[in-house]
Amino acid sequence: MTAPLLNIQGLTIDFGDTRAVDDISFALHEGEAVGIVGESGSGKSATILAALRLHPAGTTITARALSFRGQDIGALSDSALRDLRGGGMAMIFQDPLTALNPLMRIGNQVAEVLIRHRGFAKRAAHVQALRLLAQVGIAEPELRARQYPHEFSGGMRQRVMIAQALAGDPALLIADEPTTALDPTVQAEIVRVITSLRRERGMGLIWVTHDLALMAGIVDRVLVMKSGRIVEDAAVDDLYRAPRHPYTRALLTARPGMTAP
Amino acid sequence: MKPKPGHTKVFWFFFSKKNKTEASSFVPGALGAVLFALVALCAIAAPVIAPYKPTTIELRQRLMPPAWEAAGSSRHLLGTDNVGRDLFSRIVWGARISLSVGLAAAFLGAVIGSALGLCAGYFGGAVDTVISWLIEVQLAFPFTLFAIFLLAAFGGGFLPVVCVLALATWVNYARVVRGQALSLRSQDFILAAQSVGVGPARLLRRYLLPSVLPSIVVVGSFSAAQAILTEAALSFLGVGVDPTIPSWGAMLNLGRNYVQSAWWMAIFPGIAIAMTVLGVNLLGDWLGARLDPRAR
Amino acid sequence: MSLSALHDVSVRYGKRTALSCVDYAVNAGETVAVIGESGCGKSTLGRAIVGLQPVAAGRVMFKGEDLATLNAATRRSQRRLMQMMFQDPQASLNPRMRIGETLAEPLIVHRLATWRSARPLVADMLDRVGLSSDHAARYPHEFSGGQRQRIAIARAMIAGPELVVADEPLSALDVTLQGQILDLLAGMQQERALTYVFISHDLPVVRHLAGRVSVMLGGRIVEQGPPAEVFARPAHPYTQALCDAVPVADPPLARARLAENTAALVEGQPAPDACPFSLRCAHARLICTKAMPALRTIAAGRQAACWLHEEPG
Repeated sequence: MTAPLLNIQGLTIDFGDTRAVDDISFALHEGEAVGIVGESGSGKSATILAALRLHPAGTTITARALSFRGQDIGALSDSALRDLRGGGMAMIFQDPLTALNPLMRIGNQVAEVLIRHRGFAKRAAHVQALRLLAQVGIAEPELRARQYPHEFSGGMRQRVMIAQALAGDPALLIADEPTTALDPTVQAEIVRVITSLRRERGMGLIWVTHDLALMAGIVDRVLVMKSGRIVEDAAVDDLYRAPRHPYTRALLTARPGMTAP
Repeated sequence: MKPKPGHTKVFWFFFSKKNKTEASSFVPGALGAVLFALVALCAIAAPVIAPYKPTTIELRQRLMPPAWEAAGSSRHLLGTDNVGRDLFSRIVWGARISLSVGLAAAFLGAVIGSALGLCAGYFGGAVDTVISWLIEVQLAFPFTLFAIFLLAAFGGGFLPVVCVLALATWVNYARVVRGQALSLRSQDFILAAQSVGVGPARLLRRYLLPSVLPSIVVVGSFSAAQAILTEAALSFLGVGVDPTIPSWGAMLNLGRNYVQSAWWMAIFPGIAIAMTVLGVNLLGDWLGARLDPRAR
Repeated sequence: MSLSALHDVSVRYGKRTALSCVDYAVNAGETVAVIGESGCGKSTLGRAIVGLQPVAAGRVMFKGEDLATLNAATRRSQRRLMQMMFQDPQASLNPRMRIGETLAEPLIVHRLATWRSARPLVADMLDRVGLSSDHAARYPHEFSGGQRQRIAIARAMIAGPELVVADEPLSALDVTLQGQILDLLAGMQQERALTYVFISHDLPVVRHLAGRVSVMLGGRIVEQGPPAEVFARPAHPYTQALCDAVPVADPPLARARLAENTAALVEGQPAPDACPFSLRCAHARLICTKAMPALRTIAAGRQAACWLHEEPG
């Protein structure tokens, strides 16, 4: 049996005196899509930041296992870690405006990932960057690649970030609330882009959100987190049909639906 | 008597090492505080610190070099001037002029400049146009020359000098405060207060002013430094506060003629001016970094 | 007579038009909602209703009086009756004022109390919104997001308004807190006979709360009607798109939706007079790119502004 794509066992994260994550364990397999749902303070963001060792200074992380394809993440050297980030695991964030360099053209930002992580030559990188921009649904990529982030709308910037993330050809894409700041129709578009690209490439996916309904069509499995613990871990169909934990039930019933009650 | 809670908090905030963000910003700030404290001490405790009255003339002791020189004496630490007045005492007493003028001018300038800046930024429209025009005019104007002319025409004196210096510095406050008020004006908490029905007077006083106060303090420290320097220049040119009271600028003027023979007459007042200005500037720098809301 | 009405109101920021010839009315006791995406003008509409937004054209009426014709004193007393709750409760509170003072302020400004007599009133209101009277001495940054929302509600209600415009009151809140805040708002509406205008992009909540919903796009109202009907059978293609975008907590259904084909993203600005949705609309015709239809009644209580519903002419 091959090693899981991402294996987290007994992870505990402390920020000074506060325990953000308390002994959680889960494993993600190749090509699997998992959703992590939780409200503020649940520890969901802390968990995935720790997986990429992007946690803030002053954090204490202990785990029985924290590995990517069998390789211990905690033991990696800085350069090996840099290879992993963007190469094996890529991450996209909530606010694409601050994640993109405002002074660099979009095309160059995507090409940079190709040059650094996949050893592309400059010209080939730009050609591939255009292809990636088209893949994420940006029309007229040759024109758009020469523009700067502030000339793009929120949804477009998010697409650029996805293109950057995919440029490294990662085996695992981690998305931390990628659509929370976007309008509903734009959110639906981004969900489409990510799910179709994932299927095409057979990538693993971790989608972190506070919106339980959002994940229904995107993931195979859902982890519900509350106060640093995983309170439910179930296949997506099972979770929505027959939630076991009262907190999951509370999350499902908290919001009204679009059909008559 | 128990200090008010607000007071002790401020004290701790300023002097607590735990709050420092970087050692590099703490040391210059501390140095500035020390220099400023020294000067302030001289100003306040002049009668106690100075061994002689600053106006005591002793012609037999004239032009004595500082104590560490061969012809010097320990009775006159920094030497004497051309009519035998003790230099050290005169410098200590001179701190009074420099500090009082500097602080008074900075304060008066702050009141005028901040008020105008707030009104310009908040009300906009015609008010802003007029005030901005005033600012532009003053900036384009060779103000120091004009100040010298005014004072020469009407004579020196404490109040005229302070007023003139305040007029010189109000523009610094006005520009900064106006800019901040403009950007604050469209923020939600101002809009929310307006939607409640809060009138302009309270909005300015309770909403805008507290938010711009840190900037005013920072500009204030730099303006104080500028005022001290300008006062020295005015005294140097003979249109300063009062020729009978020692002022560092006047001492510089006097010492100018003796640079070759009695260098101490000009150097020490010059050092005093430089130290004070440096101290106030360093303190202002540090204050600016501390009061920056990013640190919160 | 409507409690609040906008007649042919336009608002411009420089070259950009935020509201374009909008007619809008709210009757006393109603709970209405305005939905739309970023830049549609819904927040501008909310500010215009409470008189915080200068208008380039048109009239803003409250209780039959044109706000622009009132003198300063009358306008201030009218202010008391129409309050606004802003989108980000933290940003709408003065960070340097204790909340006791912030809550007493409306009472002072409208001469309903003195600073001393306001204290018990503030304590009562804090209690009513689920906070305690000791909280009055604290500053906004000492509270959680949910608590700040309650403070914002308290401030809006304390001077006894008749109309409250709430701009995205739930968007900053955790899901499990949203129900509590909705209950609080509903309770206060009952106690005080309030009229609510909710500005939101959250369709399920709007469906649950509002008796009438207006859909905005590009500075115009493109559809209006009872939410249940409007969302079940949208008359305007944009409303349909908004409904389709709402996540549904049903995995097989959600997966099926995702599998449907979509056209590639189209960006760009439609011509100024054209329908703002014309570039994205699956039903777009030539006329949609040339002119915008007026908001017309298409059925009892339902209006839409779409060429699909115009009589062929």
